[in-house]
Parts: sequence; C-alpha cells; structure tokens
Amino acid sequence: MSVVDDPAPPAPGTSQAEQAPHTPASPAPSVVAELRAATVRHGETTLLPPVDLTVNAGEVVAIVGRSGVGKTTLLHVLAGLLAPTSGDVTAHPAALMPQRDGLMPWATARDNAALPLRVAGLPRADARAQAERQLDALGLAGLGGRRTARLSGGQRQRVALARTLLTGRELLLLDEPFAAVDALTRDELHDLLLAHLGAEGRAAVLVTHDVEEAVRLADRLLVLTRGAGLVMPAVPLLARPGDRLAARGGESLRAAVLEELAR
Amino acid sequence: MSTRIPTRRAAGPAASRTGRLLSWLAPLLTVGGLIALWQGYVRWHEVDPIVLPAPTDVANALWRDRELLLTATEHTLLVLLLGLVAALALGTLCGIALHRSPALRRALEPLLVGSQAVPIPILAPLLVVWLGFGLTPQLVLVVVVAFFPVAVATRDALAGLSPETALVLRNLGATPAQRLRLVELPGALPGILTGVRLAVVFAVIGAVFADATGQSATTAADPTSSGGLGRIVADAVPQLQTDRAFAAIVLLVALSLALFWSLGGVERRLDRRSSPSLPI
Repeated sequence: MSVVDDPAPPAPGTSQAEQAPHTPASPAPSVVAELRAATVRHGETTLLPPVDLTVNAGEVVAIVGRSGVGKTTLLHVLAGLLAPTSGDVTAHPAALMPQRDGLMPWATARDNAALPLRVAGLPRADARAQAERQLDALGLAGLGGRRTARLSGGQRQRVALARTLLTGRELLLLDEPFAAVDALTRDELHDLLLAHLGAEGRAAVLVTHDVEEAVRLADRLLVLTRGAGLVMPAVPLLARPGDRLAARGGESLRAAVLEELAR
Repeated sequence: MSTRIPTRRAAGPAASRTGRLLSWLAPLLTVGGLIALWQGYVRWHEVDPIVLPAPTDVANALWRDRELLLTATEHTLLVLLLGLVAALALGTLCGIALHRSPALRRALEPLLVGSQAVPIPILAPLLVVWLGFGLTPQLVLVVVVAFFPVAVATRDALAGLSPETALVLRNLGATPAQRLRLVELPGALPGILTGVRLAVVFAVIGAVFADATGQSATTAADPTSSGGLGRIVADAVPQLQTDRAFAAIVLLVALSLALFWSLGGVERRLDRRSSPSLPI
C-alpha cells in the first residue's frame, strides 16, 4: 500500500466518482482515500472481501455490516496499519479512533487528548494547552485534569474524539465510536461530530453496526457483506442530520441497507 | 421510602478522623501488646537474658551501645540505599528489555530465576572471596536479590498496555522511545514501585548476610571499623551479648519499615497526582 499526500484524481468513469456528493462550494472534490479491489487474507481466511471505495474530502462514509465481515480490517487498511493482500490503497494520513477508545486510564483527559501533539514533538505545556481547548470545544470544560478512568463512557468517547481530532489529519477513521454510550449521549455526540467535521472540512470513515446511526451521519454508505463491499447511493445532503432521517431518501435507504444486510 | 442507608461517608468527617486514629492505633496496639507479653514472660519465668533478653534489656542495650549501633545503622542504610538505587536502575532496564524482546526473555528467564534460587548464605561468602572485603560484595549481593522483583514488576507493568492504545500509537507513528516515555513507563510506574517495595524486604536480608560474612576477619580486633547491623548480630551472639544482637535486629526492622512505608508514601502521592508522567 502507498500513502500519498497528493493522490491522483480518481480514474474517470468509476462508479465511486459518479457517486461523490456534489457540493457547489468545491466543484472538484479531492480524494483523501481510495481502495481498489483491496482484500486482506490470512491463510485461508478472508479478513476483508474485495472493496472499492473512494473517500472525498469533507464527506462521511459509513461502513455497515455484520460482525466479523471485515469492517475494522478495512479501517486498519485505510490507516496504513495493515497492508492489503491484493488490490491498491492510496490514502492521506488518517487518524484512527479504535473501538473501546484506547485511552490510557491512568492519565488525565488532557494528557490523553494531547498524545498526538506530544508524539509530534510539541512541548508538554503547549500540548496540554491545545488539548484543553479541544476538550472545552467538545463539552468537557473543567474535566481536563481528571483521570479518564474516572470519566463516564460518554465523556471518555469525547476525550478519544478530542485525541483523534488533535492529530490534525484530514481523514478520521472511527471504529464504532458510539457503541458503548446511551442513546441520549449518542445523539449529542452525533451532532458534535458532524459540527466539527463540517467546520474543519475533514472526512470521516465511520464503522458502525447501527444502521440508524449510519443513515443519520453518513453522506454515503458502504454495506460490507461476505461477498463484497457495495456502495449505496448518496443520502440527500441536508443541513441537519435529524432531517436526513425524515427525508424521503432516508427511510428507503434504511430499508435498502437492511435488505442488503439480510441477504 | 425515607430509610437512610448508613454509609461511611454519611458518618461525616468525625468518623473518618477516628478511622485514621484507629489505623495508627491498631499496629501500635498489636506491637505494644506483643512486647508486653514478651516482657511478662521473661520476668515471670526469670529467663536468662543471654537466652532471651527482656524488651527493657534490649532498650537498655540500644542506649548503651548507641554509638556502635548508629555507625552500623549508617553503614547498613548506605548499602541498602545504594543497592536499591542500583537494583531499581538495573531492574527497570532489564524489565524493559524483557518486555521488548521475546527472544531475550526466553534467553534470560532461566538466568534470572536461577539467580534467585541460589541461597544467599552460600552466595555471600563466595562474593567476598571473589570481590574482596569492603562495600562491593555487599552491594552486589543486595542488587542480586533486589533487582529481580523490580525486573518482574516492570515487565508485567509494561505488558499492561491495552492493545487499543498500542494501535493508536502505531497510527500516530510514535517511535519506540516515544512509546516508552509517553505511555508505557508512566503507566507502569505504580507497578514498578510495588516491585521496589517488595525489593526492600529482600534487600535488607541481602544486606545483613553480606555484612555478617563480609568482614569478620577485620572487625574482630576493632568492632567499630565499618561493619553494618548484620556484623553486629553475627558478632554479638557468640560473645553472649544477646541484648545487643536484639537491639541491632530492632534497628533492622525499623529500617525496613521506614523504607517500606516511605515508598508506600511515594506511591500514594503518585496516585493522588493528577497524571503520572515522566519529568521530560
């Protein structure tokens, strides 16, 4: 696999390019990640069926599918943690938010969020100050000094999100980020995520087993089955995620996804 | 439903103050009671003080031989502190190496465990033969016995890193040095300290044996030369000065407890601190 800063534009005529959401502000959406017939096999086992996927700057792609179908593997391939057995991957540097947050329980929310900055070589004081600002922006004002072991599930997800955002990378890879939080918190976090992605024009690939969540958050959906990945048509782009569900496309899309998963 | 369930916190600060008092009082009472029993037994049965001196005899010896005991305590404390610092450094490095390289782990494990199986009373005189009299064999013995718990604790604590955090670090492109400095060592610090606390107990035993075998030839003429508390015990028993031997043992116990407790204090302080991290 190769990671490039300035990937070649998608090959003309591919179905993904046609499905890219049309945003008037950026007439030629740039591609931040692209998979072409990428597969991962380990011996006889197929960890990832062949997948074609293009992620454009600023869009949210949700990946839905049953357990064990390769959703996490797909994220790891995009993150550059795993090389595909066959096929091609080009991707900008991406920030992974793993399942179950991956926070250091003994460290404070501030130090956890500051980890990417410290790895990038920032002095501790600067990194902490930046982390504190990011935590404030995610609704964790005043909790920066608390150990993450003593935070609630929803608060921990916010810290993990802060850490992911602070990487500064334009593609976020979110592995079931809201699976462990209650429904109300999940709604809040959805709004928060969309607000931040929108404000900074970053793209995200979101793995979820929750079709509802996928339809609500995503510009496009990738339904991953044992056979292959199938890209669903774009959800109509509306200002608020709540509107998407209400939109005509939302309901029928949801039905289509469920039908696809049931096969 | 207005029944109140009594909880510890509900009892208020007064209760917690009594609790704290009790936590101090309890060990004092057990130790005090034991000393009283001992005193009573020796006085009641008129036991020969050469066989078993009464606590008052021991207290008397503590005062009578205070200069001798003080220099010996200083010597033992020096050996202990130097040995523990060396054991901490070597043990941590060894733990990191064991954690990093499975091949190294397989290669070193028999040596490490083997080093602990060698009985100290046999190793001590051998070290004197190899390294001569003086501080060196004593330090080596303390390090040999104390570094093992530190190394094992370090290795185990480092292995406690969650696979998800490891994924994040790989994704961030952290170097092995960054991984160690920013994540692994700060997370392992409490575990390493527990290892050091265990090591204190072993180190005291090592120091006493090293001392006891170390310098009999030189200290026979001048007992105040440079022996530690182990030397005093070893010399006092054949000289039928059992009270002095007991006084030295009391000091050894006090030394171990002081070291053990102050390390416990460091651990608690670290735990209270918002976030353990290395001063880099």
